[in-house]
Amino acid sequence: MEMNPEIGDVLLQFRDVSKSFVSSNLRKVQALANITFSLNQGEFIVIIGPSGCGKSTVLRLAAGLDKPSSGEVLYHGERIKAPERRRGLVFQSYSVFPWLTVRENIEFGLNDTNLRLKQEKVANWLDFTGLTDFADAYPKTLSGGMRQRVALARTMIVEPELLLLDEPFGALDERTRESMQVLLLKAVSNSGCSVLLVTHDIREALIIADRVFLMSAHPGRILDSFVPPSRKPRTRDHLTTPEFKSLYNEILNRFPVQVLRE
Amino acid sequence: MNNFITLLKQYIFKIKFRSSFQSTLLNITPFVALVFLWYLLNTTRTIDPIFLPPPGKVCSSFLQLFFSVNFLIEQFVPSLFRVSGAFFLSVIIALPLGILSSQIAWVSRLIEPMFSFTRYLPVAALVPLCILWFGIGTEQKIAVIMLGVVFQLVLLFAFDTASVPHELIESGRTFGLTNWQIVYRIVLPWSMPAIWDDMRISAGWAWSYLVLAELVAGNNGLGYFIIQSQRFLETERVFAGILFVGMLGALTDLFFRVTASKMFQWK
Repeated sequence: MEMNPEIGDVLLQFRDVSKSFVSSNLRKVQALANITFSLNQGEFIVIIGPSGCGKSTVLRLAAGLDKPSSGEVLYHGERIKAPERRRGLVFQSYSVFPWLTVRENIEFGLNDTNLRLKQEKVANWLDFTGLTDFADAYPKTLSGGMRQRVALARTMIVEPELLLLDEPFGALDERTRESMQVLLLKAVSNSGCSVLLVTHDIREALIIADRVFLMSAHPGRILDSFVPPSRKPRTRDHLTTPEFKSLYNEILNRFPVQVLRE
Repeated sequence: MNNFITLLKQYIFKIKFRSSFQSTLLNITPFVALVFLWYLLNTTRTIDPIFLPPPGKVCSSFLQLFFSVNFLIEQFVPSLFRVSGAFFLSVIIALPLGILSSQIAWVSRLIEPMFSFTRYLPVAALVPLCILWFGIGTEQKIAVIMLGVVFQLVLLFAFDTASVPHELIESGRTFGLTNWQIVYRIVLPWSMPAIWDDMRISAGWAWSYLVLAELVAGNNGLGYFIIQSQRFLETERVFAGILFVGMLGALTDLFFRVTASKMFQWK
């Protein structure tokens, strides 16, 4: 497997991780089975798979919101015990605090005592996300894309080492999605953080990822990993090249088909 | 004439609430109808004025109460003090219990069954016990109100603070917030509109329990005023007293509504 030369040491490591839940009818459901991978410092990994394959569970384990049933999740070589500020998480939706204005949302996680420095940081992020004019608006007045920009800024302003994104653009329309991808890539390259992103959109994965993992469902396993051709930054135009097309088709053919279960 | 009836029909069946004037008109219609019926029953002597005094007499009696310093100081102020004190204490006790119960599973298991049972105990039946325990002073009134309000409020507050979307709480956790910070930075602000609304509703109950406690025993207060007026057969003052309490209840309700619309603009 080819390696990006800029990519450094191992940051996050899953070692033979399995996770099972007890469902509401008291049956044991295995969400993840034998997940093993490592994410290197500065790397951008995208996990794709059908809905319900346990992609989100991988993120929750990495964030420290859930604990594995077996195996280990290591961060800087140490077992993850609880959520921490250096691992930021953005959900698909509903994660912006509705009782706070855009500005208050963005500064939520900051605990700088230096007020001027704090205001400066917030102003920079408002500017970067194009939300300066909406700084004092409540989230209910914003579009879905704007809310996700608030959520992204709120997470990025505390300068996490690892950014975890759970289908962050899943609820957005095509155009908004694209501009959000551009914004995300810019924010990530400015900060130099590593990223683990979950999506079910193959195109999105091929544009933004350094490595793509394909997952199966019931239980969730990593089927394979792919490295998209050509260096970043990539745009939508790259998708028309033959290498992209063949990789796209390969992934699509192996993409697990959703089976309806009663 | 036919034309007029058609127009009338159109007016009745196709009222559109474009103007606030029309909706105000509809709002006050039942009140006007009630007073009119009352007036009719009175002038036709269907009901003896001893039992149903004329609207005018009740009205002037009500206004007299309003401008009587004696009444305000001796009956209104003690009642207001009791109801607001008891309500304040109830919220102070119920809010932490409700939050603990919604956030910590064993606390909920510990208190919710007992509170669900207790809140079905009829408060009216507890008044004699309160008199035995606390006498007939302010303590008894406060005890009756709190018995009626606290258990309900704990369960309502527990419900309000339990319904925070998990994404909000988990976002907070990823910022490294402690459980205590999660409660006051996320759970409380998110549930505040519902908490405020439940306070509005229970403030209404508090007024009823106050009057109940004062009717049964006491030396002053609005309930005492009503029962004293009944004993002296001053029926118009009974009516005026009831209206006065009703007005206070409505004002309390208005207070919570207005403050809610100011505080929760994010909703």
